[in-house]
Amino acid sequence: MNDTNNTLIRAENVSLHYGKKVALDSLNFSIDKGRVVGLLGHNGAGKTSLMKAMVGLHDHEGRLDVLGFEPRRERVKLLQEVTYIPDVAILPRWARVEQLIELMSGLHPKFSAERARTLLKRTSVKPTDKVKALSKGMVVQTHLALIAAVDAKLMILDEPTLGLDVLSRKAFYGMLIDEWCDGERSVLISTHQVEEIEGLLSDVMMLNEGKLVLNIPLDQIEDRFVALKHDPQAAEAIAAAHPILRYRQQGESAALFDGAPPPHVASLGRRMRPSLVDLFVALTRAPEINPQR
Amino acid sequence: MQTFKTLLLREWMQHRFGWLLLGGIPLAIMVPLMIFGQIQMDHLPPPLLVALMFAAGYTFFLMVLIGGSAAFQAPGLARRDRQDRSIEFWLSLPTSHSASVGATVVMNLWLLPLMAFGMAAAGGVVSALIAVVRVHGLDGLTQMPWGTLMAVWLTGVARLSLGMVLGTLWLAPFAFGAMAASAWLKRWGVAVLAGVLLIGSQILDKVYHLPWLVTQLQLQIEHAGWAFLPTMQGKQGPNEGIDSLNEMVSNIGTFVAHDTALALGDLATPRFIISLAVAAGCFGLMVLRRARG
Repeated sequence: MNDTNNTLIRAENVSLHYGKKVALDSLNFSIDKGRVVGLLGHNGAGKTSLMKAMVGLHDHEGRLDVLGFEPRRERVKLLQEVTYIPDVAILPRWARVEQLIELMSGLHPKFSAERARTLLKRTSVKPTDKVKALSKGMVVQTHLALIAAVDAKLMILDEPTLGLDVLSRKAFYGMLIDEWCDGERSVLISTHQVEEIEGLLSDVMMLNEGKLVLNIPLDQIEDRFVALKHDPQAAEAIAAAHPILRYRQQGESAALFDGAPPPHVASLGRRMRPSLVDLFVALTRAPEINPQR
Repeated sequence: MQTFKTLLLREWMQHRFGWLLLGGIPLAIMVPLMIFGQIQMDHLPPPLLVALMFAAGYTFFLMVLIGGSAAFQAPGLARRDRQDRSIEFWLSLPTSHSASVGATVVMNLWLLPLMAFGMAAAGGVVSALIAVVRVHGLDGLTQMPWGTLMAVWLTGVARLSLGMVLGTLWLAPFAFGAMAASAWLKRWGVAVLAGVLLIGSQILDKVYHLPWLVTQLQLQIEHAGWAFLPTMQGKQGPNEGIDSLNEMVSNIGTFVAHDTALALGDLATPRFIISLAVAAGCFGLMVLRRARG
């Protein structure tokens, strides 16, 4: 993820405070073009703060470079290249969809009204519909159709499917992958529905209390983390090897290790691919309920 | 410029209905009342005077209504997008904070009131013609000196339009102050600002014998009044000595030209520069509030 020419976002010691509360704590990472990166974390982990800092809506300390722009100082130029759906994004209720297309045409130099109308045909939303008459799922679909019609290099989505039913979520991600991701553009997406987006991601970043606890391509997860399914009799020996998580899967005991477990422990179970959800739980659980860490 | 025009278009889309109603409903009420009601006059004035009385009366009534509406809704504009929760959507677009706030202010304090005033002026002509017919019958229309009527009407409308622009500039410190207070202090903003200005000025005057603030507030409102109706300036002008309607009508061009010169001349004063600076400061506070998300 670190080829300089391909790097879209580079963060060096990025921190963000709300008064005395630390929202982001010395983050270092980079995101290359063509990647679909999942940003995972509990409520209050700092996901929204990081995304807002990336689009120039929050002050921060440290160096944050997004497409060569300093977000806070060059927000307007940056937002011509980056599209963003905030977590509480609500399209203006007074507007009709066609009016939003007209406004976006005037406000966004890289917006294509024709493409927006084409994308909207994939949904049940009509251009004459008023936003206030749409369901929450339709509003989110409309919003995605609008910003997917922008010829941007990076899309930042903060909990875009929050509160949507499963069909609406599937439709959203379907449109995102089919209509926007082309191997050149990048997406940074935060969500709680880890299991639903795992198949879409190329990389995952996990935030816990403002700290970046994981930043890894998905295809390297299996190289680094080892999940062992084991018999209950082996539980004591497994626990002694300090797994980062002990859990149950399909009625069987399992343990997750950061790195390869000792050979005598590895022989006690059957290796399997660790799921993102289990990794998320292991790396972001509070210490008081995850004493192994 | 394209961005600013589109931001103005957004304001038009969102607020046109209310302003069109404001311009149209009084006429819709006035016309049937004048057609089916009674118009009584102690003596029978000439048709030109009847027309001018009704046109001026209707237009002035609407102007007060328009000014009141603009003043009433100004504080709410500062919080509008936050209250309907669309602010995150607007912040995600590549528009500067100053352009966004500027478009709101320009459209809602100047352009839309001017449009409503235009409707009021047109409505004034309609009510004038109905009044002439009701008072003099259809003969009144044939006796009407149309050239004189149109000259007076157009001159008056042009002068009052300029008065609205200049008067709003003079009142901008109050309007922008209320908007900034509302943006920062929410529903308490206007109350706090009113309390500070009204109660504070009275306390300074009555308790500490420092009438400076109350004097400045009175003078500011006085100058705004002169911008609307410069005959209130009490300065030497060609209106002095005009006793009859005919004289005033025949001198309307000179009279308005002189009044306009006085109103414009009032802008080249330290008071106006200072009031603009205060308004600019309040505008900056609104922009800062928006930039802080």
